[in-house]
Amino acid sequence: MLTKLLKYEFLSTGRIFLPLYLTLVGVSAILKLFITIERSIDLMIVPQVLFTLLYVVLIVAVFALVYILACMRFYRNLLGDEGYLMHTLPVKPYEHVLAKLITSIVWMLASIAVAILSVIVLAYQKGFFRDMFNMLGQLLEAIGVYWSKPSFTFTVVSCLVLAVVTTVTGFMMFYASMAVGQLLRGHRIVGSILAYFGFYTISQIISLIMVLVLSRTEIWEALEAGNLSLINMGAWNPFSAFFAIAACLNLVLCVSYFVITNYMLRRKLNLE
Amino acid sequence: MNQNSGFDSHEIKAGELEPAVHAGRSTDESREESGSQSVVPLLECRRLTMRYAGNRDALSDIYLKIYGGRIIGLLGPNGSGKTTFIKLVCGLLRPTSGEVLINGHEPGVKSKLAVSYLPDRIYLNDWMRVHQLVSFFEDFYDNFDAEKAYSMISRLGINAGDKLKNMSKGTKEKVQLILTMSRNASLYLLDEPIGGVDPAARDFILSTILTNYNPGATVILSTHIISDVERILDDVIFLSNGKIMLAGAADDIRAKNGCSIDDLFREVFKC
Repeated sequence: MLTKLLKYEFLSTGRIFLPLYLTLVGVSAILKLFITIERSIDLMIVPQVLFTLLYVVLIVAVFALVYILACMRFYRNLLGDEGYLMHTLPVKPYEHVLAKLITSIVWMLASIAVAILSVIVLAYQKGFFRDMFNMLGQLLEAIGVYWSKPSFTFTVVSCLVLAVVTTVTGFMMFYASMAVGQLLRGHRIVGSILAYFGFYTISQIISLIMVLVLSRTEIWEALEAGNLSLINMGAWNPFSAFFAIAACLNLVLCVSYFVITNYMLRRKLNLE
Repeated sequence: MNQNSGFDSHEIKAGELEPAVHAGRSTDESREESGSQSVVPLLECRRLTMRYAGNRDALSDIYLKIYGGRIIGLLGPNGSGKTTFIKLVCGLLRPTSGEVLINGHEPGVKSKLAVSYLPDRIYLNDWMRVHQLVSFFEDFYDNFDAEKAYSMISRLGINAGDKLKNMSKGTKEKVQLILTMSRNASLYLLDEPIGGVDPAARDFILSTILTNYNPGATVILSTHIISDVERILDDVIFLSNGKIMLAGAADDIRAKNGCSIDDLFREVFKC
């Protein structure tokens, strides 16, 4: 059933994201054209400025819309009138939450990919890819000189894991807020915003506690000194340890939000 | 009418000749009376109570047993608990206390497959086209009959390629009804199916209900416009302030009171 839910989730969101992605790539191509022509014609500066503005707006939109649609889909489809259909489908509540979450994550990744693509379109010139790979090679070489490779790789990976977990937790925090907020009958949006601030405060308190605990350890000293050579200490150096601890805490929050959302949809659902 | 309000258990059974209302003190007793231990009711409510935060009980202490093969009118004025009752049965609400069982199970994935529900509002998203909605229902419900849906769609002159967005409210309601009735469910829950449509459409809707539900199934339809539906009802349940005031076979009630259900309703709920 999850795959069927995902199918309709992507049908519903794709009709907004795909045209937007096409527009972004198109605008970056046109902008690139203007930048190329500008060198020969002075007047080209006007459309170039306009398209630069448009490009910036679209880049922001591509990412903002991931969050806006994540919230709108959840609220409308599961807590609004469409909820009367969704919650009478022979589907478990957690499958609804998972379908929404997976869709949001996929669109986040797609938005990152399309944004990178649009930058490549803008920056492209003859020998672009050759230059890029050369640069990457030099970077890797430099890393080899300063840091031992395995511990550096591990640190980067733990940092990426933290980034992913934080993003997922962000979506789940929105979902949990709305699932709790719907309890406030007649003021469900206000309820959702209040719930969000509640969850936000709790997560801030937890990170504060984490910082206070860490401040008594060597990890914090190393982080404060910003001494990157400490990465050479091995896979578990102060940096990777910090990322891993932060990721674990986020994971705990994420799972809690999931459990709360699922409980609310299963037991406390109250459609208007 | 208060001679009936002392009843706290009601039973509505297929093909029963005796009065369908049982004045038992509890469900267990009434089960013994009717000697139907072996048959699991299609829908059973035990002490079903629903209270919204800070309000009086929307439903209180409902005992009810419903079996297959009946068309049941859930009648009552606005705010009497009809929609709450239906939402509890289809699992959109959890009871404050008591339980509701469909084929002996609490509302869940299994019961949702057995129950076909038409809410009192438009629950379809407006960006989909009719044929997409048909595939949606086909995807999620094994018991959905797409062929039946398309034949009703074409009979009504609805274009399967149209978007919901461009349809009138009445057409959307018809599409919803078609989707609901094209499922081979064992319990149909129709909340105000004729509430917002004109009399001609009402006849169409009633005949759609009559000709399309599968014979072993039970249809519960809630309404406060009784005159139009009275002729198709086998049984009626009168709800008032969250309590069952009267329940039984429509013919018996008519005979006992010497008037139509519609007249009885007007008398009982006179303002």
